[in-house]
Amino acid sequence: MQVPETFDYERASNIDDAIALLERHGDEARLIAGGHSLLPMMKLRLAFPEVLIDINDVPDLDHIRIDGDEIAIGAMVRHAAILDSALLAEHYPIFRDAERVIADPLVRNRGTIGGSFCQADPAEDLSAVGAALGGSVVVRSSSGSRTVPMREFHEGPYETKVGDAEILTEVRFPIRNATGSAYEKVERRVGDWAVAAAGAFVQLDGDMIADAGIGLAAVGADHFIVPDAEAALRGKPAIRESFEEAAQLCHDQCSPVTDQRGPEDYKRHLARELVLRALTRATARARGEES
Amino acid sequence: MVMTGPSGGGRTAHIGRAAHRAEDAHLVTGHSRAVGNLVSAASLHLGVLRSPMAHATIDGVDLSGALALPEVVAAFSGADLASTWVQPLPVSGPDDAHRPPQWPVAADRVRFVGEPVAVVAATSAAAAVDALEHIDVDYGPLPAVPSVDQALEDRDLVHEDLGTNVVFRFQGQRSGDLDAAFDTSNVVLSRRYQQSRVMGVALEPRTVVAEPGSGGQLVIRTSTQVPHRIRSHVALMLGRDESSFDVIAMDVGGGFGPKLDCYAEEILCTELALRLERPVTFVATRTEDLQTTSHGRGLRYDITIGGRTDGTLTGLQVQVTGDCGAYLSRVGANILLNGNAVTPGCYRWEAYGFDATGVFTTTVPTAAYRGAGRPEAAYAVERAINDLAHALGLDPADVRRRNFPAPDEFPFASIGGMTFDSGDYASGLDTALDAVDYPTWREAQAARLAAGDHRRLGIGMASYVDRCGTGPGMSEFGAVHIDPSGQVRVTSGLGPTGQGTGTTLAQIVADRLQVDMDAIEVVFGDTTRIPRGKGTFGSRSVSVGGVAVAGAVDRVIAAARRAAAMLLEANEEDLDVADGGLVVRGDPGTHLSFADIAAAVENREVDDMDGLQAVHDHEPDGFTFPFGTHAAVVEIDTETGRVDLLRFVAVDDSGVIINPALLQGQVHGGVAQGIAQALYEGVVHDDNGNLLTSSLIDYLVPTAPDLPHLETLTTTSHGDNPLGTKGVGESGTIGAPPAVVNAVVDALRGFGVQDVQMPCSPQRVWQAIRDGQQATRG
Repeated sequence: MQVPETFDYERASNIDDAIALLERHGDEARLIAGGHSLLPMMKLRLAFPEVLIDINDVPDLDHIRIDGDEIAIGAMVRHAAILDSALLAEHYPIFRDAERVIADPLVRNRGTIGGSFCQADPAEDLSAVGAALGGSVVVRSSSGSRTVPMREFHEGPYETKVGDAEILTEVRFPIRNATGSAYEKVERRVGDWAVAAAGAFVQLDGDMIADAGIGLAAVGADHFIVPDAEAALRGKPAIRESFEEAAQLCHDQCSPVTDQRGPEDYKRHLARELVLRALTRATARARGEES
Repeated sequence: MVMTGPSGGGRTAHIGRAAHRAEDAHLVTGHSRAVGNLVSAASLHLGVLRSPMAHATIDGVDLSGALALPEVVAAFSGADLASTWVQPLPVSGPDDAHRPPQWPVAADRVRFVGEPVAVVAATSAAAAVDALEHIDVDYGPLPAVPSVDQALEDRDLVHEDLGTNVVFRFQGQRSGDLDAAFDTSNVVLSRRYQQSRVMGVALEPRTVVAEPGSGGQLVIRTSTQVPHRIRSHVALMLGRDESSFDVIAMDVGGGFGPKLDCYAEEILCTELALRLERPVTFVATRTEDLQTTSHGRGLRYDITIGGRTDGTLTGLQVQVTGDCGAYLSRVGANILLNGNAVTPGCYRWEAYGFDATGVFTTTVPTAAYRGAGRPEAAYAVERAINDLAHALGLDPADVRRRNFPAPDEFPFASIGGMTFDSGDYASGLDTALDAVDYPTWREAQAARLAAGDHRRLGIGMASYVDRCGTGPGMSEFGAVHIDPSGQVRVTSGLGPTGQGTGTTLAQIVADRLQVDMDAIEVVFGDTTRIPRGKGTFGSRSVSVGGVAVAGAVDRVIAAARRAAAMLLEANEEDLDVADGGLVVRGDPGTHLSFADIAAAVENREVDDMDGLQAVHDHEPDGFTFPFGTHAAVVEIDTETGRVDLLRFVAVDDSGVIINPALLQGQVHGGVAQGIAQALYEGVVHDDNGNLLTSSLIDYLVPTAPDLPHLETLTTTSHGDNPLGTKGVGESGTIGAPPAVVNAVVDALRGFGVQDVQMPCSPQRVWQAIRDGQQATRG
């Protein structure tokens, strides 16, 4: 039998309640949302939280909506809802691309965007999507809410800016014109973690690239990004040569490690190839040539 | 007695019909009788402390921490239990094979990660897991020997006292003149084909409940393919009479070969239940199951193959080297030795030689896995034929076709020493190539190449002949009883694990008795209710177990005929089976149902008969030989290494088909497992002998979205038994791996690639392309 060690369980009724419980139980408490990362770790006895604080009853965290000039996604929005969202598909098809290759329907029905961001797995697809798009993350504590730029949120593998008695409540992405986005992933089996994956966002000004973002999963890119590759794209013509230059910078500047999913040189190769493909598709979408 | 053949005109209501599985209703409505669903609240739970080291001495085991816990009823080290065992876990193999003892709990040395070191019995499963963390073991680390190559160096020994890691060297077939065959060949290739190590991942992990029953008998419910064998092994190891135990296996959730063996936990639950006089339950976690249930395959074929420019195959020389794991399992050696007869496949050869070497490593023992030696052989020879065809500049289909025996050559004496019953191998190949539209794909393949497309196409095929039923000595028990209500009870010594065998047997019986399927109950897997049985393996269920039941039905009909003749004052020869009973030919008013006859027999209206029932043990006098060709089309993204299986066509000849839906289910499942081995699954150990693929996150069992639409076709020859059936359970795992890997290699020939080892994962394909390109630039 795979069973966790003994733990206490609390069920939060609202955000303030959840924060109060976190403050009461200290750093041995863990929030549980979808549970698809935390519960397996507990059952394998790799994680031993003393208290689980269940936030599935917490209201007002399950929205996907336009808020000013941004799209706001509540922390408890499930992967399945992201996959189904017409609003996200319209503005950022990268979400649909990524969600199609995240795990399986069972996981997507339970797992949340907040959980994905806070787990901060270096192979997490949504973190790479967030990194490509930029935007911000809203974090709340008993002293109020603060906003953290997306690209500063992740501090390293399994580490984020969320403190002990804080909760990620919302993820926000700016709405921009003339953009396209796409996600490309190589996995060993449908639903597996990425061997390597790349998300791309492109904003065009005529034939030129006005702005671009690249997010990389599973290849050891700090904060899931390679800033030099993005800088190399800005102001360049939206043609294959520009994409290749950026892809090469990703190849050179990421730092993957050899593991069961593949050797380091293969992952570097994939980083280049997938960035190239994602930029190409994102650009085609920005031009309305592809949906 | 003489058995009637498959029923003829007007009586074929049941055989050949895609009857719905009678097994499903209770499974899908929450009434499964899987062992884990039958655990009483009073049961103790067995926790097994397993070695975290691949090779070490056990220098001390301190159980005091566990014993101090209130939920722990008992705890034992291997040394505590050593005097309990009358003999080690059962072994077989060639006479000169080393057979070092494997005990249920290791006492002085561990030889694979997961080997039991101590056990606890606790009042709940969770308490048992917690208790294991309170046992301290001192290990003295020894060098791990996790690979065959390391083992063959004989530097670090798995069993020091043997002085070698070689389990056995077997010299097999020597037929024809190999030197002459190779001398007269235009091309002779020597190649190594690695058969990857895999695991039979059953839906239901190994599960045992041992429970003191009435009359002093101990009831052992276990998830096994071989209940009678479990009873005899438990009795042998504990030095008790077989009648002390009733082994029950119902609703087994998958077997695939690994559940052919008796495992430590079956012995341990039984022993602890006897000692503590309480039920004891063991349910393997998925990780325990992957670590300690025997693995399959894991051997390599070094082949020398010769051929002439006209496509004639000449000589085949084979050296098989197999990883037996840390101990020789009961069937581990046989997997290698099976290659002796089957490696020549479905072809004519001028000369053939076979040798096999078994090797100990510090890994879990290997044993049967769906096909048990035949997939290993077919993979090697089918890969070799493609490589030979490539070297000769010939189409691989033409080389196969040229060397098949013709239909009028059957029975055909294979150079491997077997005589194939019946077949038309070329028609199987042609059917597969037609179905997949071979010439069109060859054109598309050339067009992609010419266009410089990074998505290459490959077409692969594999032809096979299987050997099923497992031959003389492998009898099976069947019995049929009809009661006065008309209920027909069929008992069989088989041990089905999800195949729908009960439905199949009911069809055979219903067909002969001309009764409704609803009137038939089929009973398996209870050693008290069923006197003997061999179990389910070797694609033998219908061709041996089915024939046994058919024989029993025929005996029942003969008995009913005798009774009815007396009751109707008619001649036995004038009675026909009709509408669930017997009738005097030409006089419909005389109809007596089998229920009526059973009632009369039970009322002693018929002399010398004790119930309308009969038993029949069927012992086959030979094997059956199913055959077929599988064809695959792959598209490979040569930048990422991803293989996309575009088409898969399986053409299988399994003899007469009892239930086409169940047959298709067997082919689908087998092909899926074969594709899994080719593209996804593979056991990985690190240098220290740790199993890296110890969860389903890392051991990549594919699911539906990973698999293509499977196109299955059949041809029908006639097996050499009264039902004409041959067997189908293992065809998929035989045909699919070489078909898929041949397609992968076919797609990559242009890069100088001649091999990609299974599983052909994206990283391996990409690596093979890069290595091939570098070698070509060379």
